[in-house]
Amino acid sequence: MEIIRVENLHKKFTLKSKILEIPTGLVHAVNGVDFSIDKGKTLGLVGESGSGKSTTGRLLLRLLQPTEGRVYLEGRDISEIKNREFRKIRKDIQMVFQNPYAVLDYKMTIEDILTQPLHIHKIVHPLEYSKEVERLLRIVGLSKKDRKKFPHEFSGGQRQRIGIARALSTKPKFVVCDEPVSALDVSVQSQIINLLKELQEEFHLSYLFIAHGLNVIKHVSDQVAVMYLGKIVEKGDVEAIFQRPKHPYTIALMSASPIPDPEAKRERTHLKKEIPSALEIPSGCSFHNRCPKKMDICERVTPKLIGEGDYQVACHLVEGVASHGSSA
Amino acid sequence: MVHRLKRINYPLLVGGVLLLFVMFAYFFPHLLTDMDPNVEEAAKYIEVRRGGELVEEYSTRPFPPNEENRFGSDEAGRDLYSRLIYGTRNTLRVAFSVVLFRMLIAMPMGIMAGMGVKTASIVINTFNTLFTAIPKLLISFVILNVAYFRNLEMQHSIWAFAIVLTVVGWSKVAALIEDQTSRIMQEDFIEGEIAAGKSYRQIGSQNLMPHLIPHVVSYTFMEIGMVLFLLAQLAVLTVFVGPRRIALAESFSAGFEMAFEPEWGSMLARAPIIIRSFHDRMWLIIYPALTFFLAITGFNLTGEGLRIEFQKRSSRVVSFIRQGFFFFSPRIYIEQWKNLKTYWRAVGVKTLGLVAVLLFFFFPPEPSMVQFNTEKAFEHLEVLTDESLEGRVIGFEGGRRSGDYIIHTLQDYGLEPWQGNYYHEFPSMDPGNTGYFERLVVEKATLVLEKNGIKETFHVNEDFFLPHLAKSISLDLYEGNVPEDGYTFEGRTITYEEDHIEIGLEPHIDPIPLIKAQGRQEVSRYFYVQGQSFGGSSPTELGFPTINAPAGVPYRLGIIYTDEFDDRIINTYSHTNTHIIPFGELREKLENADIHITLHLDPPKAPDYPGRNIMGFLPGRNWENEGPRDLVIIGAPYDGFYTGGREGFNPALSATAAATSLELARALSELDEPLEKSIMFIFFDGEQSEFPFRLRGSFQYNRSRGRFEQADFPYTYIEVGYTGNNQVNRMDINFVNGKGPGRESYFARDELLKRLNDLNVDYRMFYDNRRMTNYSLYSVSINSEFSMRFGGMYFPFMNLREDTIDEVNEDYMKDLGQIILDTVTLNPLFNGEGM
Ligand SMILES: Nc1ncnc2c1ncn2[C@@H]1O[C@H](COP(=O)(O)OP(=O)(O)OP(=O)(O)O)[C@@H](O)[C@H]1O
Ligand SMILES: [Mg+2]
Repeated sequence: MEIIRVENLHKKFTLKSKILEIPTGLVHAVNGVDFSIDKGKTLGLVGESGSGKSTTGRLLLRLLQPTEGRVYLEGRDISEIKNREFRKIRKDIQMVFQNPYAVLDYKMTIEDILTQPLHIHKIVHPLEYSKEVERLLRIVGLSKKDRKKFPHEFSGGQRQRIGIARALSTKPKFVVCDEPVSALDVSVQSQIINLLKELQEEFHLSYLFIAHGLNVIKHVSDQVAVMYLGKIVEKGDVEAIFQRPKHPYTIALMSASPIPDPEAKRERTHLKKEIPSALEIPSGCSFHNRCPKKMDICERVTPKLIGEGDYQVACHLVEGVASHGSSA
Repeated sequence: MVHRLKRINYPLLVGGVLLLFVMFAYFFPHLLTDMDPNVEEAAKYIEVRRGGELVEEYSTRPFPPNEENRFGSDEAGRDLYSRLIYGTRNTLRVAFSVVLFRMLIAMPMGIMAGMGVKTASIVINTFNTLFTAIPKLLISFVILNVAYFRNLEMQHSIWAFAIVLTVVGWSKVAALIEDQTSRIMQEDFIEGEIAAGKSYRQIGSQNLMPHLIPHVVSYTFMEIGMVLFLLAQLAVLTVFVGPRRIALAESFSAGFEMAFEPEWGSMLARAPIIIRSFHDRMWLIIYPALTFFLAITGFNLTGEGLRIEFQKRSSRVVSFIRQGFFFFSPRIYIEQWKNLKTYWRAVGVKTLGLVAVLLFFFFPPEPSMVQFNTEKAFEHLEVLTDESLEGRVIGFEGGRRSGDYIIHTLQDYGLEPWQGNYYHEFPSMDPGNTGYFERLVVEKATLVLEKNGIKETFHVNEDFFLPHLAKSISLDLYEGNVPEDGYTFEGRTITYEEDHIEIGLEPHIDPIPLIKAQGRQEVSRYFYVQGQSFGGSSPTELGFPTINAPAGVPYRLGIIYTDEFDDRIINTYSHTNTHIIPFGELREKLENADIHITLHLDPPKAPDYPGRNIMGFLPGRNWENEGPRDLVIIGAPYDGFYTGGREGFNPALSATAAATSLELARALSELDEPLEKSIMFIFFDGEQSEFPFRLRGSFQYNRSRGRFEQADFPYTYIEVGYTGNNQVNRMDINFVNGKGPGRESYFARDELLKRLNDLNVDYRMFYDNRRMTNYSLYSVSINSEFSMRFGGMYFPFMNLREDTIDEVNEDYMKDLGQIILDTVTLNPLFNGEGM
C-alpha cells in the first residue's frame, strides 16, 4: 500500500529584487519528479546541496504549492483538500527539519514546543501533557529535566532530537526527515538513525529520508532516489543502487562518501567543477558538463527516466541497456 | 558573553525608580502631602529662608516657595506641590487610557496587517499619512479646544481626551506592530509551526504574541511618555483635562480660566504668560515642567529597559506568560475539577482565587448603617405644610407652632437640648436704623380689574401671590405710619409684550406708564459648577427679575408676569417694590392692553414673636470626657411664607429640608452605639428671606456663638437643602473647602464621591470659595472646618400654586437623606479614626 505518491512534480521560484520586488530570475528547484513510498517503508533521497531535496519534501507536506504536478496522500490529491481539513491531516504527516537551529521557536521552552502539537491535535488529555512530554523526551534520549530549557541551551544534536520528538509527538504515519543527521558527528548520527529505525518498526512509520551522502541512506532506506538539479536521475531498491549503480552521478556520489566497509573497494571518480546553480540548468542532460563519460548526445537530448519495475535511470549511457542491466 | 549578561540594566533601574515614585503618588498621594490641593489662600505670612535664616514675610498669591508651600503656590493660592502630587492620578489616567485605547486598536490592526490582511494595512497607512500631514498637536488642539470639551467634568473630560488622542495617534503604534509582526512571521520556525498543524490564529496567539509582547510592552511605556509629552504641549496651548473655574488674577485686570481639579497639564497652561515675568514667578513653570520631564523620562527608560530585559535570550517572561495562560485556562480548570483526586490542590487554590476576584468585583457597597425612611419624612412634611400653620412664617403663630412641632419631635427621638435649650431666639425685626421686619403679613388683599365698565375682583393667595412687600411699607409699620385703610395701587396696562410685562403703579396717584422689566439680574460671583462654569450668574441656573425702581418712588408695584416660570423661583423677601404674581384666570385677563387695575392691601401685620432656631443634640462617644472636639452640625431651614391658610395652597418644597432633617434625627437617634462625633441638628428660622440678610436664622446663629466659642468648638457643617420637585433629576451638592489647607476636606469629598457612585446617585457638584455669604450655608460654613450642602436652595415652582406635596421628588429626598446618613456614619472623616 502506498502512503504517498508524487507525479510530475515541478516547483519554480521566482527570484525578486529586494527593494522593488522586480523578478530577476527563475529557479527551477524541482523539475518533474515522480515517486511513491509504501507504508512502513523508507525512500532515501540523495543529492548534492541545491538539488531540490528539501523543496521536494516541503511540497509533499504542502508547505509549498507545486507549480505543476500532484501529490497523493493515501490516494487523495492533497491540493484538493481544504486548509482546515489539511491542518488536521498534518497530524499524520510530519517533518524533521534540516536546520535544527532555526526551526525551533527560540522563545519557547522545550515543554511548550512539545505540548503545542499535543494540544492542537488533541493527542492526549490536557492533564497528561507533562507526562507525554516526558515520554517523548525519553524516546529521543533526553532527560525530563530538559523540559524547562530553551532551544539555545541545547547542542545541535540535542536540538535535532527535539525536532524528532516534536515530529513524533502527533503519532504520524509519514515523516519527512530532511537531513536529520548531517549536522551531527558520526557517533550521534548512528544513534539517531537507529532511533528512527526503531520508531519505524514500533509505529509502522513511513519515511522520506533526505541526505546528501549515500552512506547514511544505505542504512535506513528500502529504496533510494538520486536527485540532481531538480530531477531524479536514478532510483531503485537499496541493493540495486548500491551494488550496481549505473548513473555516473550516483557512482560519483558513492565514491565521494567515506566507506565504512574497507573491503568494498571501488573505482574512484571525482566530479569536475561545482554543481551548477539551479538558475542556469545546462541543456540536455543537466549533468553533462560534469560527467566523466560525456557523449555528444548528452548536450542536446535530455535522457528519459527508463527502466523496469522499481529500478529506473536517466542516462544516455544506459539507454536501451537498462533493461539488460536490471536483469544482469 | 558572561559579562554582557551580568551587565546592569541601567535604563530599567533608573526608569523603574522614577516610576516607583510616580506610581506612589498615584496611589497614595495623601502620604506625600498634608495639604488640600484645592484650598485657596489669598494672602498670608510665609516663612522663607533668607541667608540661611527663616524670615517671616507677608505675601500675596502666588506665594513663592516657602516653609508651608514647598513648591510655592499657583495664582489662585493653591499649594503647587500638593497639586502636583494629587494631579498625578488625573494626568496619568489620561495618559493610561489614551495608550490603552491606542493599543486596543493598534494591536489587532497591526497584527492583522503584519499577517497579511491587506485592508488593515491600508487603513493603518491612510491614518499614518493623514496624521503625518496634519500634526497631531494641531488637530488635538483644534478639537479639544471646542468649548464643549473645555467644560466637561473630570471623568468625562478624561474620556474625551482619551478618544481624541487615540484617534490621532493609534496608527503610529499600529505601523510599528505591523512591522514587527511581519518580521516575526518571516522567521524560520514559522514553517515548523505550520507543519505542526497550527492555524494562523494559533500561530498568532502561540508564537507571534510571545515574540510580540515584549515589543508591545516597551511600545506601551514609550507611548505613555509620548502622550504625556503631547499633554504638556497641549497644556501650553491652554488645553487641559478637567473642568475650569474663572480665577481673578490679582495682578491682571482680567480673570482667566484655571483648572479646578489638580492636574499637571493645567499648571503649564499659564506658562506663555508667566514666562514674561519668569524671573519672579518661575516656580510656577519649573515644578510642573520638571514633573512632566521626570515622568516622561521614567516611562521611556522603563520601556527601553524592559525591551532589553525581554530580549535577553534566557528571558523567561514569555514562558511565564504561557504558563499563565495554561494556569488560568478555564478548560484546564474544568478538567482539573473532573480529576479532583489528583488535582485537589490546584483546584482549591484556583477556586479560592476565583472567589476572591468575584468578591472584589461584585462586592456590594458597604451597607448603610441606618436607613432613611421617606415615608416618615413625608409624615413630617404633611404636618409642616398643614394649612393651619399658614406657611410657617417667622414671627407669626404658624411659624411658632411649626417650631414647637420640631422641638417635640426631637424630644420624642431622644435628642438632648444644646446647652440647656432646644431653641435660640433672635429678633424678627431689625432694630437698627433701617427698621426692616423679617416678614410682614397681609391677610387680605384684592385686585380689581376694570375694562369697558365691567369689574372683576380677585383675591390674594387664590388668584395671585404677594411675594414681596416694598420696604417702604415695612418702614411705615416701624414708624407707625401705616394708613388706616391700607394701601391702594391704581394703574392701567398699556402694552402687552409676548413674554414679559411689568406694570408700575403708584398708590393714590394717577396711572403711570408701564416699565418694562430687565432680563435677569447678573449676580457677580465666581464659582465653579461641575459640568459647567459660569462667570456671573447664579449657581442654580436661575436668575432674579430686576426691577428698576426710580429713586424716591416709595410704593412701586410690579406685576411679575412671565412665561418662564418653570425655570424661575420667587422667594419672598423684602424688596424695593411690592410685587404680585398672577395665577390662572387673572393671568390670562392681564394679557390685554388698557385694563384698569386697582390693588388694595389691608394694613400689614408685624410679627408677634421673635425668630427661633431649633436645636437638638446627639452626644458622640467622647462627648462627656473631652468635650465637643469635633462637632457635626446638620442644619436645615424650616420657615415658609404666608399662605393665608387658604385651602389647597400649601407649598411644600420649603418644608422638605426640615422634614428630611427630622427623619435624619430619627435615624441617627436609633443607632445602637453613639457615633464618634457629636451631632447637632439645627432648624433655622427666617431662611426664606433673602434680604435683609442679618435677619436670617443662620446668620443669627453664627453671630450668637461668638468668636471664642467657635475657636474652641471646631465643627463640620452639613446643610440639608430643599429636595426638589419631580422635574428635578439631579442632586445638587455644594462643597465648601475647609478653613485651612488641611487635606481632610479633600478626603471627605473623595469618600463622598465614592459613596455617591456606590449608591448610584446622579449629582451635580458645586464648589465655592466662600465668597457667597448670603446663604445660610455660607454664614455657618465660614467658621467650619469644611461644609457641604445637599439639595438646592431654589426650585422651579417653589412657593407657587404648583408647589404641592405631590410634586415633591421622593427619590431625590431618599437619596439626599441616605447620602447624609452614610456620610455621617460611614465616611471615615466623620465616624472613625479619621485621618
Ligand atoms: N524559497 C525559495 N526561494 C527561492 N529559491 C529557493 C527557495 N527555496 C529553495 N530555493 C532554491 O531551490 C534550489 C533547491 O533548494 P533545496 O533547499 O531544495 O536544496 P537541497 O537539495 O535541500 O539542498 P541542501 O542539501 O543544501 O539542503 C536551490 O537552488 C535553492 O536556492
Ligand atoms: Mg535541504
